[in-house]
Amino acid sequence: MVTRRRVLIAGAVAALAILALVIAWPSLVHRLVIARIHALTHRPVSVEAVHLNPLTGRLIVQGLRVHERDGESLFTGFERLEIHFNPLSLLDRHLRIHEARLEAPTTRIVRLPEGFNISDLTEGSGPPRRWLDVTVTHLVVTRGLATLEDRALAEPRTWTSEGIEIEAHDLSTRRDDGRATARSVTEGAPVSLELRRMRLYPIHLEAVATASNVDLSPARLYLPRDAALVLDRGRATSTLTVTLDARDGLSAHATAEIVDAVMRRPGERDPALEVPRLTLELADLRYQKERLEVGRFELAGAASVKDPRAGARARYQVSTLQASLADVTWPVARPGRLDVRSSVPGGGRLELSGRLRPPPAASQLRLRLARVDLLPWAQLVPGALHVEGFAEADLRIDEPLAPAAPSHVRGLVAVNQVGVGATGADSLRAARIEARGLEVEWPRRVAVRQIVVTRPRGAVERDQSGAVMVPGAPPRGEAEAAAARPSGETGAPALAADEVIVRDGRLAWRDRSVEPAVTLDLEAVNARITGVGWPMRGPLRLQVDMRPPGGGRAEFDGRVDLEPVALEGRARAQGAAVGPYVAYAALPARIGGRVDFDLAVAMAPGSEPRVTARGDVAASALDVRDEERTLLRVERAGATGVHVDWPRRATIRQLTLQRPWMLLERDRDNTLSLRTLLTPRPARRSAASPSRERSEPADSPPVIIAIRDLAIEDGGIRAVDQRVTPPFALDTRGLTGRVRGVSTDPAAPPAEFDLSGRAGGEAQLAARGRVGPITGPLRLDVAAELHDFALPRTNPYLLQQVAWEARSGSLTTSVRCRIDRDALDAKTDILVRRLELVRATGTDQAQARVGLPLGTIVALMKDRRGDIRVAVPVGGRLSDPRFDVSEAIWSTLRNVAVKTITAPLSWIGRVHTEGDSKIQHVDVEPVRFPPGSATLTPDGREQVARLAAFLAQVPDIRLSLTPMLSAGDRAAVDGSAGLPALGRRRLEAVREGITEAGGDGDRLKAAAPAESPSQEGAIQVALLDPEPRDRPGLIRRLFGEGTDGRR
Amino acid sequence: MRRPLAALAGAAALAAGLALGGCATTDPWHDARIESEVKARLVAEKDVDLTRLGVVSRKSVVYLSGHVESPEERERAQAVAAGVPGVQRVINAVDVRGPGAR
Repeated sequence: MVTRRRVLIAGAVAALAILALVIAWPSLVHRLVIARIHALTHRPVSVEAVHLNPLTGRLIVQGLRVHERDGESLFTGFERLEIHFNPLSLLDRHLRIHEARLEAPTTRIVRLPEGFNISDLTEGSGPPRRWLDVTVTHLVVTRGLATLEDRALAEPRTWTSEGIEIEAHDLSTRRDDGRATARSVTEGAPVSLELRRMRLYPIHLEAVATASNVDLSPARLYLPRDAALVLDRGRATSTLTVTLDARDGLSAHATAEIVDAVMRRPGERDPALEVPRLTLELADLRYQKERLEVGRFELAGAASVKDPRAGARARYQVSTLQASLADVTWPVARPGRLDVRSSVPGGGRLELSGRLRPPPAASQLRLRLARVDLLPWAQLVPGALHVEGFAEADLRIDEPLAPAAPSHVRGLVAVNQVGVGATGADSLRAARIEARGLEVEWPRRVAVRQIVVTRPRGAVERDQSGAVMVPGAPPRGEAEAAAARPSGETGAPALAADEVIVRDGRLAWRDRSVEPAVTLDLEAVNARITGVGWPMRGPLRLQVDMRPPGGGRAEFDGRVDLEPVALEGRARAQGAAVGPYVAYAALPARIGGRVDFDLAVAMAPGSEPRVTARGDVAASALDVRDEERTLLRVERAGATGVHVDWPRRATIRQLTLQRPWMLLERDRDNTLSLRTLLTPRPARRSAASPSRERSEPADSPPVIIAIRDLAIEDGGIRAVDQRVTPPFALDTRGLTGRVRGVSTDPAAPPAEFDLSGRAGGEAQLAARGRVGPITGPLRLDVAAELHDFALPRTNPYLLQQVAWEARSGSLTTSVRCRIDRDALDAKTDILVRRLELVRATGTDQAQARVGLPLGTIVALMKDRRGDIRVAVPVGGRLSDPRFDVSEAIWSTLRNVAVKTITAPLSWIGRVHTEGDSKIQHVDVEPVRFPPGSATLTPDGREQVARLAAFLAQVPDIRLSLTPMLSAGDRAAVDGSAGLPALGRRRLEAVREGITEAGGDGDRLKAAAPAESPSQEGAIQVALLDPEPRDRPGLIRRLFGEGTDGRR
Repeated sequence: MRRPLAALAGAAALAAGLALGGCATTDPWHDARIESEVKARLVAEKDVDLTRLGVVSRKSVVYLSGHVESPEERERAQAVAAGVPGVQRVINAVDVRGPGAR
């Protein structure tokens, strides 16, 4: 009974308790839910209603709101959650939910500069304790909304994913066959998620998420505001496959495709970069136990790039890019592999491959470029330079990765078809420039083991103002500014090249500062330069050989210093043409020929550059021309012991001229052609002239040129005088001799010379003596001889001067001439043999100057053998304004002639002269006869004997005999009828007397009797010209009418 | 091969001419004038290079020798010599060697 009462009481209590529980259950559950959520989130929580029926296993939560800590903003919540579960399943610690439906869930995530609004929920949350298995047979989420407010941006932005719909089946902690699908619209783009093989705990799932046509433009918000490129538009479609397993970790595979992406430069309208399509693939990404592995990340696509040149509208189509990153782990267990292959905007390929290690460990990368067109990148070069070419490179980078240009680079860089030059100017071009053994330690130094420049081409120009324009050099203003900066301020790395090789170069030098302009083409230039660096490390070693303008070879091997400029080495040339450099001699002549030399040259530094050269020089086929004519030629010249000490002195120990030849022409304008050709033109005035004049003061001493021994072998001279008629021309051949001590030094001792040759083909010519320095006072001591020179060769001058011609005759003469400053003392011994003259038309200057016709003079001067021997002394002071060499010679010749012919004439008569020794007339003593007699008186016989001796002495002279009949004769012969007979008898008496005395009676010419003015009769004797051989008709026929030098 | 033959023929002609001239009665007065004038006229041709040609006159027959750069120059030399008054005949032994071979 007691037991029953107790049971009833207990039942009543239980009933009451149950009743109380039932009554309080909703409120209890409501409070429990709020408290529990608050404990989890530490945020204000509100729930409109909670209905839990443990008996039926039904839970409904309505109006859950979790607010931010400020109590105002909503953090998360939903409208309704309804769950149907099996209460009995809890007995075996397995919550079985048949159906769960979540309606209108909302989540708001905020990114702040200091972190996310959920950071406190994710930090410090350890792994949940598993005390209950859960299985959800069916889960539905509808009308979900998630927002992300990014307040860390300068311009806050809210991202929204709305319309979230999820339907899941068989989600369980005991099975792994759960599946779910989810869809949403994220920023206008549909996003779907499919989950398979899900297990709630330990977590396992396989998810495939796809997003289509996602607008990428908001991504620009996450780029730096000062970025060079801004994302303008673009859309992406991606698929992400994720496998998440509590034990195996997370693995993922993702693909994405970006289309129509456009990037612009700030402030520009035209897109800088257009990406029609870009695919990305992430494969074998694994994350397990805080270890990340990326099996492979690949990127492939194409882009067009705007031509960066100013004003250019063109685009570079289409640059492709393929990049892959493989075997990346974190923390790093082994190096990752990077492989990038891309076409380069404008043309070319880029490959970057190697092993990647995260800093501070070094990565090993290899960068290869092929046929990269430099033109689009030229504007990145400072200054107004125009750069073009195709680059290739094979570089190895071994250093920790950093967001900057690599600082340790080794390898090879080359540029093909290079062109460098100021815009609008000729470029410095090269087929290839290759830098081998490149070592870059940026920004400290750049070292190159070898630079090879293949087939460089360039032109250096000097304009009329003297300014030099070098292709590839910065404009003058920039260069001067750079030069003015101390080297330390430039910030440029030190440059060093162990060796620079130039192969098959060609360099043109165009100089318009001289007239005519000079163009020198240096071809086949090969060079090796060692020790190149900047700043300079020391002297450069330069070995260069080339084909100079006009052919041949030239080479230099030596040392070159640039600061200060100095040079030392050996220069050699073989067959180098002279002609191209002639413009610098400022001569109107064209000069040709080829030169060989082997010289040790040096240029010492200093305020006045001084150049020395020692060695041997040879030349061949040297010729000097005007237009097309050769006026001077040397077949070969050899100079040994050359010592040039510029600008002071140039000496030659031995100079040999083989077969030199010269045209000495006096043209019709009375100009010596050769002298005109070798007279420097006046310097052209230009803007550069003032500086030149400063550098070359007018009072600078001239360069002294000295030749110790000059040998002439087989030389020749053609002398032509076009001023006379007929023109005079004479060849002198076989000129051989030596000149010792030639110098332009005024203080040098006289040079000694000894020359011989043949004039006119047969006459021997020899000259020896001493001559003072060219630049010093005139000092000359010459002895010259000429043997057997054919006098008819001088006819042009005889015709012009004396209107006579030589039909035959030879001249042998010796001249001794001394000139000391202005004192002339010369003596000429002349021997003329077999001279035969004929009279031409014109003025006989001899008669005008001497008083007798030349023929008579010559006849009187001849000796018994027909030779003329005279000594002609000429003296005077050259500085005397009254002194005239021509007049002095004429005066001397007149004196000699008068003296020579006076002697024989004095035998037979008397020579009357004027004050200046000119012969006024010649009186021959007549042969007198008594009136009416034809018998020689004793005096008459003596006179006849003298006449005979005279005729014998001067074999070419003739005498005229004129009977002079007087009044006494008329009286003696009783009238005039007998006078003619008397005259004839007297003539016969004189002729017989002369003949008997040994005279040539045939040279006596009888003249008609004349009346004597005196009382005595006589035979008057007068000189006759030599046998008249005038041939004016022939002269006129051959030379024309005039003989005055003009035709 | 052509040049040596031409040079040989020219030298032979010149030698023959000189020999014949030496055997014949010469007029130095007349031949000297011809030589001078031929040389002077060759020199006066400024658009061709005839300054170094050898000129010998024997009995009014002019023998030309030396080298020129072109057949045209050779013909010009011939014409110049033939144009001198008194010249009866020109024997042209000038060799053509081409530019730069002189």
